[in-house]
Amino acid sequence: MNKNELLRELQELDFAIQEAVLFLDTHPRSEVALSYYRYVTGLRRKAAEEYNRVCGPLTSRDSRGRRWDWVNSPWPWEREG
Amino acid sequence: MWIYEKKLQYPVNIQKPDPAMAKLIITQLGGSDGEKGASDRYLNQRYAMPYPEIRALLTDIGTEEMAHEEMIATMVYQLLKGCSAQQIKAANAADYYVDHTAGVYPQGANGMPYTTAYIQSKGDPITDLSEDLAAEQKARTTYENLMRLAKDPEVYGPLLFLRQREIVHFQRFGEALDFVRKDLDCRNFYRYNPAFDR
Repeated sequence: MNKNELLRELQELDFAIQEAVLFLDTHPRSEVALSYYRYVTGLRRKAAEEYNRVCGPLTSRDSRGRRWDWVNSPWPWEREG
Repeated sequence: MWIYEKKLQYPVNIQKPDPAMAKLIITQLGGSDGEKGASDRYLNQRYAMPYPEIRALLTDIGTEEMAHEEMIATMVYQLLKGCSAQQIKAANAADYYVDHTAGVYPQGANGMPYTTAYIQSKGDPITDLSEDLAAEQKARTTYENLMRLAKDPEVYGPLLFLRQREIVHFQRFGEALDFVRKDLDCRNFYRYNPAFDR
């Protein structure tokens, strides 16, 4: 996947997680929602690792390079979301 | 605390500047029913909320509202980007330009700066959740009003996404209000304030 596809995948997974989280807040005993939450957070962990590797740090705690790349990777308003 | 993720919740990629539309859309950042008011409202209401499920909900929705502020600010930035002073004036946005150039300033469509007078944090779960339900509906109406004016699909798409979030949040706050009512004396919800009276 290219940078844009990796970003889109991460946005889709984070959207799925956000929906599961809000639903679980008001339905904390829903087994179905909890297993969906576990499924999408598992996919998200892999997607975020790949994103950090290819696109640069997602957060200021994800910088892995020899140089401080947090300041260089584009800000979300500078490129396609 | 919060940790910033260097991405938007939903893609915003507006190629065609439109200062007139920027001046209208900014109302969902700093206007009376905008996203800044939403996040301020929910994140401040959390402290007096006596139910852990609803403390979580206010935290998670309040946090999502901050991501919506960023989307709206991005739309305003991209709609103003690359315009000359003359182009901005021709779009009837010179009043915004003289105060803020092409910067992003949280204000309403009427030019009123953002104020916490738009929100309430009453320290009563029924009152606060009723306020939150109304806030989500007011924001939905505002998005629909903007969508009727948005011709460009690159502007319309993010507005459509944000409008849908208002509906989901309304649903979740409604469930929270039901939860509070079931917990209280069903013959008189108002007998005492579970956030204050012991």
